[in-house]
Amino acid sequence: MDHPLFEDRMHDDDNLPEELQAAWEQVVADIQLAGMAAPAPGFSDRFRVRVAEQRAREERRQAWWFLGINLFLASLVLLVLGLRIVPTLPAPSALLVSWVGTFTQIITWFEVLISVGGSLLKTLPGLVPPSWWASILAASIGLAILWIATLRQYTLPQGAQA
Amino acid sequence: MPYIGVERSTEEPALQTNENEALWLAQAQEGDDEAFASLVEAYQVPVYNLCYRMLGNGNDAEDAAQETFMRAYKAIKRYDPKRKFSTWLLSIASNYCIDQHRRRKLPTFSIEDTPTGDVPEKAISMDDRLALGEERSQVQDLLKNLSEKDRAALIMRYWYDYSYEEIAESLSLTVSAVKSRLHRSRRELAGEWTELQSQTLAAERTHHGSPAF
Repeated sequence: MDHPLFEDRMHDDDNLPEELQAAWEQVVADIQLAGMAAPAPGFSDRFRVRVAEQRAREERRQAWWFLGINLFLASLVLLVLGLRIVPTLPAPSALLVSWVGTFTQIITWFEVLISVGGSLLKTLPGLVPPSWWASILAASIGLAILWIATLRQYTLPQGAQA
Repeated sequence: MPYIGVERSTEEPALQTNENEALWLAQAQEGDDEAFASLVEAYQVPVYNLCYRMLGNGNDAEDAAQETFMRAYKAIKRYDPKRKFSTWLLSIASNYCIDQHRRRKLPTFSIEDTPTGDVPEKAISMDDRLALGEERSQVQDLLKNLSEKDRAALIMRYWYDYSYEEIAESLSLTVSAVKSRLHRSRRELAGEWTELQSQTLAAERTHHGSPAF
Protein backbone atom coordinates (compact mmCIF):
# COMPACT_ATOMS: atom_id res chain seq x y z
CA MET A 1 0.00 0.00 0.00
CA ASP A 2 1.04 3.58 -0.64
CA HIS A 3 2.16 5.08 2.64
CA PRO A 4 2.02 8.80 1.76
CA LEU A 5 -1.46 8.27 0.36
CA PHE A 6 -2.57 6.70 3.61
CA GLU A 7 -1.13 9.60 5.55
CA ASP A 8 -3.01 11.98 3.32
CA ARG A 9 -6.19 10.06 3.99
CA MET A 10 -5.48 10.12 7.69
CA HIS A 11 -5.03 13.89 7.76
CA ASP A 12 -7.86 14.38 5.35
CA ASP A 13 -10.09 12.79 7.93
CA ASP A 14 -8.90 14.86 10.84
CA ASN A 15 -12.23 16.32 11.79
CA LEU A 16 -12.48 14.06 14.84
CA PRO A 17 -12.05 15.20 18.46
CA GLU A 18 -8.46 15.17 19.62
CA GLU A 19 -8.71 12.06 21.81
CA LEU A 20 -10.33 10.09 18.98
CA GLN A 21 -7.96 11.41 16.34
CA ALA A 22 -4.99 9.69 17.99
CA ALA A 23 -6.93 6.43 18.19
CA TRP A 24 -8.01 6.81 14.57
CA GLU A 25 -4.40 7.18 13.48
CA GLN A 26 -3.71 3.88 15.22
CA VAL A 27 -6.62 2.28 13.40
CA VAL A 28 -5.31 3.51 10.04
CA ALA A 29 -1.88 2.12 10.92
CA ASP A 30 -3.55 -1.17 11.81
CA ILE A 31 -5.40 -1.26 8.48
CA GLN A 32 -2.14 -0.59 6.71
CA LEU A 33 -0.50 -3.42 8.61
CA ALA A 34 -3.32 -5.84 7.88
CA GLY A 35 -2.78 -5.45 4.13
CA MET A 36 -4.58 -7.49 1.52
CA ALA A 37 -5.93 -10.95 2.31
CA ALA A 38 -5.38 -13.40 -0.55
CA PRO A 39 -7.28 -16.60 -1.33
CA ALA A 40 -5.70 -20.04 -1.08
CA PRO A 41 -3.76 -21.06 -4.23
CA GLY A 42 -5.83 -22.43 -7.12
CA PHE A 43 -8.66 -19.92 -6.82
CA SER A 44 -9.14 -19.57 -10.59
CA ASP A 45 -9.04 -23.36 -11.04
CA ARG A 46 -11.80 -23.69 -8.48
CA PHE A 47 -13.70 -21.03 -10.38
CA ARG A 48 -13.36 -23.04 -13.61
CA VAL A 49 -14.76 -26.11 -11.84
CA ARG A 50 -17.62 -24.02 -10.51
CA VAL A 51 -18.43 -22.71 -13.98
CA ALA A 52 -18.39 -26.25 -15.39
CA GLU A 53 -20.73 -27.47 -12.62
CA GLN A 54 -23.04 -24.52 -13.15
CA ARG A 55 -23.16 -25.21 -16.89
CA ALA A 56 -23.89 -28.90 -16.35
CA ARG A 57 -26.73 -27.97 -13.97
CA GLU A 58 -28.12 -25.54 -16.53
CA GLU A 59 -28.01 -28.19 -19.28
CA ARG A 60 -29.72 -30.74 -17.04
CA ARG A 61 -32.40 -28.19 -16.24
CA GLN A 62 -32.94 -27.46 -19.96
CA ALA A 63 -33.11 -31.18 -20.72
CA TRP A 64 -35.75 -31.67 -18.01
CA TRP A 65 -37.77 -28.78 -19.39
CA PHE A 66 -37.52 -30.22 -22.91
CA LEU A 67 -38.62 -33.65 -21.68
CA GLY A 68 -41.43 -32.15 -19.61
CA ILE A 69 -42.82 -30.15 -22.52
CA ASN A 70 -42.69 -33.19 -24.80
CA LEU A 71 -44.39 -35.37 -22.22
CA PHE A 72 -47.06 -32.73 -21.75
CA LEU A 73 -47.72 -32.51 -25.50
CA ALA A 74 -47.76 -36.30 -25.84
CA SER A 75 -50.23 -36.54 -22.96
CA LEU A 76 -52.40 -33.91 -24.62
CA VAL A 77 -52.44 -35.85 -27.90
CA LEU A 78 -53.24 -39.08 -26.06
CA LEU A 79 -56.03 -37.33 -24.19
CA VAL A 80 -57.60 -36.01 -27.41
CA LEU A 81 -57.29 -39.41 -29.05
CA GLY A 82 -58.68 -41.07 -25.96
CA LEU A 83 -61.66 -38.76 -25.93
CA ARG A 84 -62.40 -39.73 -29.51
CA ILE A 85 -61.88 -43.45 -28.97
CA VAL A 86 -63.67 -43.97 -25.65
CA PRO A 87 -67.21 -43.32 -26.98
CA THR A 88 -66.69 -45.99 -29.66
CA LEU A 89 -65.44 -48.65 -27.26
CA PRO A 90 -68.88 -50.18 -26.59
CA ALA A 91 -69.12 -50.87 -30.36
CA PRO A 92 -65.75 -52.18 -31.57
CA SER A 93 -67.14 -53.33 -34.91
CA ALA A 94 -68.22 -49.77 -35.73
CA LEU A 95 -64.74 -48.57 -34.79
CA LEU A 96 -63.16 -51.22 -37.02
CA VAL A 97 -65.41 -50.26 -39.94
CA SER A 98 -64.55 -46.61 -39.36
CA TRP A 99 -60.80 -47.37 -39.35
CA VAL A 100 -61.04 -49.44 -42.52
CA GLY A 101 -63.02 -46.62 -44.17
CA THR A 102 -60.42 -44.04 -43.08
CA PHE A 103 -57.58 -46.27 -44.27
CA THR A 104 -59.24 -46.77 -47.65
CA GLN A 105 -59.78 -43.04 -47.95
CA ILE A 106 -56.11 -42.31 -47.16
CA ILE A 107 -55.01 -44.85 -49.76
CA THR A 108 -57.32 -43.27 -52.33
CA TRP A 109 -55.98 -39.76 -51.53
CA PHE A 110 -52.47 -41.06 -51.80
CA GLU A 111 -53.17 -42.57 -55.24
CA VAL A 112 -54.77 -39.34 -56.41
CA LEU A 113 -51.79 -37.39 -55.08
CA ILE A 114 -49.35 -39.65 -56.94
CA SER A 115 -51.25 -39.33 -60.17
CA VAL A 116 -51.59 -35.51 -59.87
CA GLY A 117 -47.95 -35.24 -58.84
CA GLY A 118 -46.87 -37.36 -61.79
CA SER A 119 -48.81 -35.17 -64.21
CA LEU A 120 -47.34 -32.03 -62.66
CA LEU A 121 -43.82 -33.42 -62.84
CA LYS A 122 -44.32 -34.09 -66.52
CA THR A 123 -45.64 -30.61 -67.30
CA LEU A 124 -44.00 -28.31 -64.72
CA PRO A 125 -40.33 -28.53 -65.82
CA GLY A 126 -41.35 -27.01 -69.13
CA LEU A 127 -43.48 -24.27 -67.57
CA VAL A 128 -41.30 -23.15 -64.60
CA PRO A 129 -37.98 -21.40 -65.46
CA PRO A 130 -34.78 -23.14 -64.13
CA SER A 131 -33.94 -20.05 -61.97
CA TRP A 132 -37.15 -20.64 -60.00
CA TRP A 133 -36.16 -24.23 -59.34
CA ALA A 134 -32.77 -23.06 -58.14
CA SER A 135 -34.41 -20.52 -55.80
CA ILE A 136 -36.80 -23.14 -54.40
CA LEU A 137 -33.90 -25.57 -53.86
CA ALA A 138 -31.77 -22.90 -52.15
CA ALA A 139 -34.66 -21.88 -49.90
CA SER A 140 -35.29 -25.50 -48.94
CA ILE A 141 -31.61 -26.04 -48.08
CA GLY A 142 -31.60 -22.82 -46.06
CA LEU A 143 -34.66 -23.85 -44.07
CA ALA A 144 -33.17 -27.31 -43.46
CA ILE A 145 -29.91 -25.77 -42.14
CA LEU A 146 -31.87 -23.39 -39.92
CA TRP A 147 -33.89 -26.28 -38.57
CA ILE A 148 -30.78 -28.39 -37.83
CA ALA A 149 -29.00 -25.41 -36.22
CA THR A 150 -32.01 -24.73 -34.00
CA LEU A 151 -32.13 -28.36 -32.94
CA ARG A 152 -28.42 -28.32 -32.14
CA GLN A 153 -28.75 -25.10 -30.16
CA TYR A 154 -31.43 -26.51 -27.89
CA THR A 155 -30.37 -30.11 -27.57
CA LEU A 156 -26.57 -30.32 -27.65
CA PRO A 157 -24.10 -29.06 -24.96
CA GLN A 158 -23.33 -25.37 -25.29
CA GLY A 159 -19.56 -25.65 -25.83
CA ALA A 160 -17.57 -22.56 -24.88
CA GLN A 161 -20.44 -20.11 -24.93
CA ALA A 162 -21.12 -18.02 -21.83
CA MET B 1 -13.97 -28.56 1.65
CA PRO B 2 -12.30 -25.62 3.37
CA TYR B 3 -10.30 -23.15 1.31
CA ILE B 4 -8.48 -21.08 3.85
CA GLY B 5 -6.42 -18.35 2.31
CA VAL B 6 -5.69 -15.15 4.15
CA GLU B 7 -2.14 -14.86 2.94
CA ARG B 8 -0.98 -11.34 3.22
CA SER B 9 0.39 -9.45 0.29
CA THR B 10 1.04 -5.99 1.66
CA GLU B 11 3.63 -5.18 -0.96
CA GLU B 12 1.14 -5.26 -3.82
CA PRO B 13 -0.96 -2.23 -4.67
CA ALA B 14 -4.63 -2.65 -3.78
CA LEU B 15 -5.93 -2.38 -7.33
CA GLN B 16 -3.58 -2.62 -10.24
CA THR B 17 -5.04 -2.33 -13.71
CA ASN B 18 -3.55 -4.88 -16.07
CA GLU B 19 -2.58 -3.58 -19.50
CA ASN B 20 -4.42 -6.51 -21.11
CA GLU B 21 -7.61 -5.87 -19.18
CA ALA B 22 -9.47 -4.15 -22.04
CA LEU B 23 -8.59 -7.00 -24.39
CA TRP B 24 -9.64 -9.67 -21.87
CA LEU B 25 -12.89 -7.84 -21.26
CA ALA B 26 -13.67 -7.62 -24.97
CA GLN B 27 -12.86 -11.30 -25.43
CA ALA B 28 -14.83 -12.33 -22.35
CA GLN B 29 -17.83 -10.40 -23.67
CA GLU B 30 -17.53 -12.47 -26.85
CA GLY B 31 -17.77 -15.63 -24.74
CA ASP B 32 -14.08 -16.44 -24.32
CA ASP B 33 -13.80 -18.37 -21.04
CA GLU B 34 -10.00 -18.19 -20.94
CA ALA B 35 -10.12 -14.39 -21.14
CA PHE B 36 -12.53 -14.36 -18.22
CA ALA B 37 -10.22 -16.71 -16.31
CA SER B 38 -7.44 -14.14 -16.81
CA LEU B 39 -9.70 -11.51 -15.25
CA VAL B 40 -10.35 -13.85 -12.33
CA GLU B 41 -6.61 -14.35 -11.92
CA ALA B 42 -6.03 -10.60 -11.99
CA TYR B 43 -8.78 -9.63 -9.54
CA GLN B 44 -8.94 -12.59 -7.17
CA VAL B 45 -6.99 -10.85 -4.40
CA PRO B 46 -8.95 -7.55 -4.32
CA VAL B 47 -12.28 -9.37 -4.50
CA TYR B 48 -11.28 -11.95 -1.88
CA ASN B 49 -9.88 -9.26 0.41
CA LEU B 50 -13.13 -7.27 0.24
CA CYS B 51 -15.16 -10.40 1.00
CA TYR B 52 -12.82 -11.38 3.81
CA ARG B 53 -12.98 -7.95 5.41
CA MET B 54 -16.76 -7.93 5.02
CA LEU B 55 -17.44 -11.46 6.29
CA GLY B 56 -14.42 -12.04 8.52
CA ASN B 57 -14.11 -15.71 7.67
CA GLY B 58 -11.88 -17.44 5.13
CA ASN B 59 -14.41 -20.00 3.92
CA ASP B 60 -17.24 -17.50 3.63
CA ALA B 61 -14.90 -15.12 1.85
CA GLU B 62 -13.91 -17.86 -0.63
CA ASP B 63 -17.56 -18.63 -1.35
CA ALA B 64 -18.46 -14.99 -1.68
CA ALA B 65 -15.51 -14.27 -3.97
CA GLN B 66 -16.37 -17.27 -6.16
CA GLU B 67 -20.00 -16.19 -6.30
CA THR B 68 -18.95 -12.65 -7.19
CA PHE B 69 -17.00 -13.90 -10.18
CA MET B 70 -19.84 -16.21 -11.15
CA ARG B 71 -22.28 -13.28 -11.15
CA ALA B 72 -19.82 -11.19 -13.13
CA TYR B 73 -19.38 -14.09 -15.58
CA LYS B 74 -23.12 -14.31 -16.15
CA ALA B 75 -23.49 -10.56 -16.51
CA ILE B 76 -20.31 -9.85 -18.47
CA LYS B 77 -22.21 -9.26 -21.72
CA ARG B 78 -24.16 -6.48 -20.03
CA TYR B 79 -21.01 -4.86 -18.62
CA ASP B 80 -20.51 -1.31 -19.88
CA PRO B 81 -16.82 -0.86 -20.81
CA LYS B 82 -17.10 2.86 -20.04
CA ARG B 83 -17.35 1.87 -16.38
CA LYS B 84 -14.22 0.90 -14.45
CA PHE B 85 -14.13 -2.89 -14.26
CA SER B 86 -12.76 -3.03 -10.74
CA THR B 87 -15.53 -0.73 -9.48
CA TRP B 88 -18.14 -2.90 -11.18
CA LEU B 89 -16.64 -6.09 -9.76
CA LEU B 90 -16.22 -4.78 -6.21
CA SER B 91 -19.73 -3.42 -6.37
CA ILE B 92 -21.01 -6.94 -7.08
CA ALA B 93 -18.84 -8.32 -4.26
CA SER B 94 -19.92 -5.75 -1.68
CA ASN B 95 -23.60 -6.09 -2.52
CA TYR B 96 -23.34 -9.86 -2.27
CA CYS B 97 -21.60 -9.66 1.10
CA ILE B 98 -24.17 -7.16 2.39
CA ASP B 99 -26.96 -9.55 1.32
CA GLN B 100 -25.18 -12.48 2.97
CA HIS B 101 -24.88 -10.56 6.21
CA ARG B 102 -28.52 -9.62 6.19
CA ARG B 103 -29.57 -13.18 5.42
CA ARG B 104 -27.40 -14.94 7.95
CA LYS B 105 -27.29 -12.26 10.61
CA LEU B 106 -23.94 -13.63 11.71
CA PRO B 107 -23.89 -13.60 15.50
CA THR B 108 -20.12 -13.55 15.79
CA PHE B 109 -17.28 -12.44 13.63
CA SER B 110 -15.28 -15.63 13.58
CA ILE B 111 -11.57 -15.59 12.93
CA GLU B 112 -11.20 -19.30 13.46
CA ASP B 113 -9.48 -19.79 10.15
CA THR B 114 -6.48 -17.75 11.13
CA PRO B 115 -3.60 -19.90 12.38
CA THR B 116 -4.17 -18.83 15.99
CA GLY B 117 -7.93 -18.81 15.82
CA ASP B 118 -8.45 -21.52 18.45
CA VAL B 119 -7.12 -19.31 21.18
CA PRO B 120 -9.83 -17.13 22.76
CA GLU B 121 -9.24 -13.55 21.76
CA LYS B 122 -9.36 -12.08 25.26
CA ALA B 123 -6.80 -14.55 26.57
CA ILE B 124 -4.09 -13.10 24.37
CA SER B 125 -2.09 -10.22 25.72
CA MET B 126 -1.12 -7.28 23.57
CA ASP B 127 2.52 -8.40 23.62
CA ASP B 128 1.52 -11.87 22.49
CA ARG B 129 -0.63 -10.37 19.78
CA LEU B 130 2.19 -8.31 18.48
CA ALA B 131 4.46 -11.33 18.62
CA LEU B 132 1.94 -13.38 16.67
CA GLY B 133 1.39 -10.65 14.13
CA GLU B 134 -2.30 -10.53 14.93
CA GLU B 135 -2.94 -6.89 14.23
CA ARG B 136 -5.20 -7.97 11.42
CA SER B 137 -7.46 -9.71 13.95
CA GLN B 138 -7.82 -6.44 15.75
CA VAL B 139 -8.87 -4.80 12.52
CA GLN B 140 -11.46 -7.53 11.99
CA ASP B 141 -12.64 -7.10 15.57
CA LEU B 142 -13.08 -3.42 15.01
CA LEU B 143 -14.93 -3.86 11.73
CA LYS B 144 -17.44 -6.33 13.10
CA ASN B 145 -19.54 -3.72 14.88
CA LEU B 146 -20.05 -1.51 11.85
CA SER B 147 -23.19 -1.85 9.77
CA GLU B 148 -22.75 -3.70 6.46
CA LYS B 149 -22.78 -0.60 4.27
CA ASP B 150 -20.56 1.39 6.64
CA ARG B 151 -18.10 -1.48 6.63
CA ALA B 152 -18.15 -1.75 2.84
CA ALA B 153 -17.63 2.00 2.48
CA LEU B 154 -14.75 1.96 4.96
CA ILE B 155 -13.04 -1.00 3.28
CA MET B 156 -13.33 0.62 -0.13
CA ARG B 157 -11.91 3.86 1.20
CA TYR B 158 -9.03 2.57 3.28
CA TRP B 159 -8.06 -0.66 1.53
CA TYR B 160 -8.71 0.38 -2.07
CA ASP B 161 -8.27 4.16 -1.90
CA TYR B 162 -11.62 4.67 -3.57
CA SER B 163 -12.92 8.20 -3.97
CA TYR B 164 -16.21 9.19 -2.38
CA GLU B 165 -17.77 9.13 -5.85
CA GLU B 166 -16.56 5.59 -6.56
CA ILE B 167 -17.88 4.36 -3.22
CA ALA B 168 -21.19 6.09 -3.85
CA GLU B 169 -21.42 4.42 -7.27
CA SER B 170 -20.53 1.00 -5.91
CA LEU B 171 -22.94 1.08 -2.99
CA SER B 172 -25.75 3.02 -4.68
CA LEU B 173 -25.45 5.87 -2.20
CA THR B 174 -25.10 9.62 -2.57
CA VAL B 175 -21.68 11.19 -2.06
CA SER B 176 -22.89 13.01 1.04
CA ALA B 177 -24.26 9.75 2.46
CA VAL B 178 -20.85 8.15 1.89
CA LYS B 179 -19.10 11.03 3.67
CA SER B 180 -21.50 10.81 6.55
CA ARG B 181 -21.16 7.03 6.83
CA LEU B 182 -17.36 7.26 6.75
CA HIS B 183 -17.32 9.96 9.37
CA ARG B 184 -19.57 7.89 11.62
CA SER B 185 -17.42 4.78 11.04
CA ARG B 186 -14.22 6.65 11.89
CA ARG B 187 -15.71 7.89 15.15
CA GLU B 188 -16.97 4.43 15.98
CA LEU B 189 -13.69 2.68 15.17
CA ALA B 190 -11.61 5.21 17.05
CA GLY B 191 -13.91 4.83 20.07
CA GLU B 192 -13.73 1.06 19.90
CA TRP B 193 -9.98 1.18 19.55
CA THR B 194 -9.71 3.25 22.72
CA GLU B 195 -12.02 0.84 24.53
CA LEU B 196 -10.08 -2.18 23.28
CA GLN B 197 -6.83 -0.68 24.49
CA SER B 198 -8.21 -0.05 27.97
CA GLN B 199 -9.64 -3.60 28.10
CA THR B 200 -6.30 -5.06 27.06
CA LEU B 201 -4.54 -2.95 29.65
CA ALA B 202 -6.97 -4.12 32.34
CA ALA B 203 -6.43 -7.74 31.27
CA GLU B 204 -2.68 -7.21 31.48
CA ARG B 205 -3.01 -5.92 35.03
CA THR B 206 -5.20 -8.86 36.05
CA HIS B 207 -2.81 -11.28 34.38
CA HIS B 208 0.12 -9.91 36.36
CA GLY B 209 -1.91 -9.90 39.57
CA SER B 210 -1.23 -6.30 40.43
CA PRO B 211 -3.68 -3.47 39.87
CA ALA B 212 -0.78 -1.04 40.02
CA PHE B 213 1.16 -2.77 37.30
